[in-house]
Amino acid sequence: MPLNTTDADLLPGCRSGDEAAWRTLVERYTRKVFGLAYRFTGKAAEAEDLTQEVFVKVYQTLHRYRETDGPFGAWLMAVARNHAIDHYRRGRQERMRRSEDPFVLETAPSGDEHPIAELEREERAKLVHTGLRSLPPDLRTPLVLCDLQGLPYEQIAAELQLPLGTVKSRINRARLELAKRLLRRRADLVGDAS
Amino acid sequence: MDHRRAEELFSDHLEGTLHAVLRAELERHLASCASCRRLHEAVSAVVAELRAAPELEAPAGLAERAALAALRAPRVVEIRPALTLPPWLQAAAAGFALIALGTALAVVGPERPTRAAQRLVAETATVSSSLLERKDRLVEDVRLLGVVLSTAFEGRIEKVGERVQDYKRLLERRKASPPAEPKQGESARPRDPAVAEAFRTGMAKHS
Repeated sequence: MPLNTTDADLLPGCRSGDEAAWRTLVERYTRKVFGLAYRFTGKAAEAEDLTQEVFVKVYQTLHRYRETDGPFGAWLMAVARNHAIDHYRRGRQERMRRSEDPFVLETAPSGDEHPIAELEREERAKLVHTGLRSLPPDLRTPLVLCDLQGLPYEQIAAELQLPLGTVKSRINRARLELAKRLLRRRADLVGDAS
Repeated sequence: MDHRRAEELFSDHLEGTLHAVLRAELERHLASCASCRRLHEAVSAVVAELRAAPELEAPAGLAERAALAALRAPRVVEIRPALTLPPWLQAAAAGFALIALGTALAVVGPERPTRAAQRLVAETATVSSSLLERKDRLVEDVRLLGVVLSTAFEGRIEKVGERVQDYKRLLERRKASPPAEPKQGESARPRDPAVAEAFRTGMAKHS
């Protein structure tokens, strides 16, 4: 499949059962979908399952997508987000707080940062993302939608079917929780150093 | 302003959506409270970190597994009904057509109907009433089947069993109170008020 093939070029083939076209499309979006799923679930295995479910759903509903709905990638990510939200709702009662080992995150390029500053930044990034995964789903989900997906509060409230005030309060509480962990960790490091 | 109230306002403050009066009050508090100031800075750092989060790498082979999972999944076939009318409306229309037929027979029938004709009208009305009741049950069955299928389709396998149990319980309840069967030769009165009225009017005309 040529590298410059667009989604629009691939879609007719996908709809008519062209497996190569479908594989190319899935390859193109797997990273994004997995990233979203992992942010939602905080577990690599669960995120993999969710990613597969999203692509099954997308494949089964390809005929519903119209070019007038906007770019295909945006439509696919909306399907993925809705599926992740459904997953969150289904598991609301069942899920427990996680205690998994930290997942290896890609870190932002460091440039010419001072080695100590770089270490601090890496430590902070690790703490924030580990903390995010250990938040209860009721706090993590609105925070992911807000700060990682960039959705406005009103849309988050609509998608989670929660009052706007509840959404804002949960996002603030989630941020505070992560900030407090960051401060505690800093205090521990200072204590160790002295 | 106390610490707790200050914390509640951090996100609004960072996003610039705080009312001017509250903002001034919070900033006064932050200027005088070192612990809240540190926490405010930490919240700001958390938000910046989350918003700058790079994309995660997907595990090796996930794209291939996801593509295959979709290809192997059963295709969804959308069944379009030949008629645009919903099934409950079709069943109701059939029931009312029978009632109308019975009524018409009574109205335009002979001046002095025979006993056999009277019995025919009564039985037609009773059958109509029974049909309407069966239609209600059929609609309920279809609805429950839809719930089971959609639960299975959403992958909530653990819930499918519960839905099937619900349906079994419903069937048991029905066994306890079966629909009234019209008996041959029985001049039963229909239970549907509209049917009863049509029946009464029709019979009165011939009495």
